[in-house]
Amino acid sequence: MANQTSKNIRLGAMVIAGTALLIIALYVIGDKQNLFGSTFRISAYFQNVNGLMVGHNVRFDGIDVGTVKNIEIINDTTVKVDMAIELESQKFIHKNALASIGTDGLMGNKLVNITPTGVPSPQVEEGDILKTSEPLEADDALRTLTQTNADIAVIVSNLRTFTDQMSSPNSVWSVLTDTAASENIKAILVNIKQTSSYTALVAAELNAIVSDVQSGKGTLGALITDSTIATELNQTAANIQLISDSLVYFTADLQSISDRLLSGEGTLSTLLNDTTLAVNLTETIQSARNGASDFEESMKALQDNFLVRHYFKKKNKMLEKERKHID
Amino acid sequence: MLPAGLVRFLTEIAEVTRFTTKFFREILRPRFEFAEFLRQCFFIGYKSLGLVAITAFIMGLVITIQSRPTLVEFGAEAWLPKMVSVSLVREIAPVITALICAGKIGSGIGAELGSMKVTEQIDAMEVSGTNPYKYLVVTRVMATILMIPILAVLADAVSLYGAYLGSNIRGVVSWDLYWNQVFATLTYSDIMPSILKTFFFGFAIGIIGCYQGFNSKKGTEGVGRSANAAVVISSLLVFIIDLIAVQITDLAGLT
Amino acid sequence: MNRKKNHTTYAPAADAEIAIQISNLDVSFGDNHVLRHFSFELPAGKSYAVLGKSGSGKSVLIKCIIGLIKPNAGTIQIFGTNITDLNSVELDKMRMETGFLFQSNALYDSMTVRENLEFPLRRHGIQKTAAEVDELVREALVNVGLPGTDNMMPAELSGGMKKRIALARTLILKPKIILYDEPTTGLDPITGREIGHLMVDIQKKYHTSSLVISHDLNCIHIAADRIVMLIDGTCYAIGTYDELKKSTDLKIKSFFD
Repeated sequence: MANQTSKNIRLGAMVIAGTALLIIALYVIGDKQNLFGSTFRISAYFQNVNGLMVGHNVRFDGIDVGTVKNIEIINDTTVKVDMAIELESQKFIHKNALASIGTDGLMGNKLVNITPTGVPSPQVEEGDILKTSEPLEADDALRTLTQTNADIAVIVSNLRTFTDQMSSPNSVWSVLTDTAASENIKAILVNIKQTSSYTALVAAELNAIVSDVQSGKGTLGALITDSTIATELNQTAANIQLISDSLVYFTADLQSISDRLLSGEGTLSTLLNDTTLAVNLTETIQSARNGASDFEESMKALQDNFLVRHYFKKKNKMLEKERKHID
Repeated sequence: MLPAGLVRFLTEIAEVTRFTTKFFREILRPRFEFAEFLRQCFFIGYKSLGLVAITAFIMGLVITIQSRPTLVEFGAEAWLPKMVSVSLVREIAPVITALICAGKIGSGIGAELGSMKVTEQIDAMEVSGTNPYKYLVVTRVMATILMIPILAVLADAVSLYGAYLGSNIRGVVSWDLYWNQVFATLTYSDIMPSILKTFFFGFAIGIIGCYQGFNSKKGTEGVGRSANAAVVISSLLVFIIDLIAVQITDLAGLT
Repeated sequence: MNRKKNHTTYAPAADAEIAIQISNLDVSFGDNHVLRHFSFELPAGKSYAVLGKSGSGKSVLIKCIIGLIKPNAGTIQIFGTNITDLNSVELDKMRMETGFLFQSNALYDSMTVRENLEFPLRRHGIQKTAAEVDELVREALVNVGLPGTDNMMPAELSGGMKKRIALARTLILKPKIILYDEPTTGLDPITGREIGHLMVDIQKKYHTSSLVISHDLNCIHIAADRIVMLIDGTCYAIGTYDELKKSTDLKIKSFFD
């Protein structure tokens, strides 16, 4: 009988160990999916959820804080996404945080990113609806870059006409030939040409990557969801966007100058005496230079890791742009 | 007229079916042989633990080592724990457990009941006021049904540990990161179907072993043949059940 | 006939003159008719033997009596109760009073001698205190001449010892009838004779009726009062050893040559 008891004890220990392991595993998995523990619900309305599904993760500042609980079509342009968020994260998420749909790695799962805006606001509460920013697809990024490129091409041709006129010996413009201004304008041209060729390069490379991904070829290395690389790529992509934007900005300045010169509205005297214009021109040249060097840096970064990640936040970009304006 | 081989085969199928339905009838009748059931659980579960653990450990280790080069080639080495854990939990650990048990337990039951049959111990039980089907078959089949899932869970754990060591032979994956990745990858739809199917594996192993033993022909040769047939048929059934289980989980959208 | 009465309970008549009465028993497996219209009676307190060739249906007959094989037709009455229609619960009651010694002993390999002996006691749901069980086990072992073997495993026992332990297991329920299925098969002649004498002793001690199935004339000569000749599935002849030995019938004669 004692023998039987010891057998039963060993059997019992085994059964308990097996059952306990199963329960622990189920609990840990459930915990990862926020099935247990206290959560609260918030929602966001998207125009397009890009294949997001129930169960996908919700990230705040890059940390998994919850899961998507429900996706519901409200009308032809609105999809409501309900998210269960860990209660512990509630105090960090503010009412003005932005929700966007992103991807975990190039080919990974979809997820909802919640990004803080940095602007003070009360913390979120149960049932709150977050503002959203639509995900920027790789195609969109390309479109912007190509547009910028086209703009630059127009300006470059304008500027060329402008400098041709200036360098003509018979023209009054020859006065300006040896001046610093003329040098500067030439420098702009060089920079802008360079910039535009870089932009074209980026566009081509992005294009190649996107088509690779779309054809399912995609370098397997890109499957690694390494957050460091992801961040770097994000940064690079943001930079390109930023530069494109500033290019558009100073392109517009140059456009107005050259427009005025070409339309004959601005005479020589006007050109020489109008200090505002001179200041503007100098500034423009300066920012064009900055832009060009920034761009070069970004290109280097891009070439270092050319797995361009295309999701980045519009809001971030806008903030950056604003800061640029203020600077 | 049907060929003799087909007639024999169909008769055999009918006999197995009758034997199996008898299990469900008998299990519902009162007087469950609990002491014998515990004894069988000990032999079937506890006594197979070592063998199952060693096999599962080696499988975890080997699968990891074998998968590494391909993943490295694609630069996806970091995916090793994810990939290995899914294949171990979904398929390898439960099937390996079932096959080991089909070999060890299936032949054990087949030989034990076979020799009891030929030495009239089964008849002796019947004249001693014991329903031999209840006492011998129901207890053993219940024991395999309940023990194999537990062995499979333990095999999951041990094989994942083996995979952890395997990941660290050439690479470095910390203990915490490894388990984090494993549990982030696994979902209920990985674990539940794989545990569920082991109950059926257990049932198949138990019922086939008992059937072969109960229908053993006279003589020591008959006992040997019963044990052998129990192993062969239950191993084959494990694979067939596995195939069906995969189809069902696939249809249910749990893949 | 009695068959129409369809007994559903086992109610043995306490003062029945006849222990086993078999009438028109038919058993067949497919086309193989093993027993045809087999009839005979075993008076209470007597010991009969059934003699027949291998495959003549001796074992089938004895397994019909204990209810392991259902006959196709005919009745088997034990102390006046037809057992062919009993359900399993009622059969168990009958089996408590009818011991069966298996040809291959059928000792449970995984149990000790003591556990083997206790098995029928426990399984028949007989309520006994530990001391009573101890006493019954001891008594049964003493009566078969093997006291003190309680903790041995069947594998450690010789053929003759196994037979004795198997007999002790049958005796522990103190049966009114004992059925012996080839009790001396596989034993040497000396041990076989010992078993034969043991059977006689047991019958005296326990006042049982017994039926021996065998083709071992030595054993039958020692243990049986009368011999039933089972030939061609029927009860060919009944008589004492001496009577049958003098018979001129060729079929009977062949057994005694």
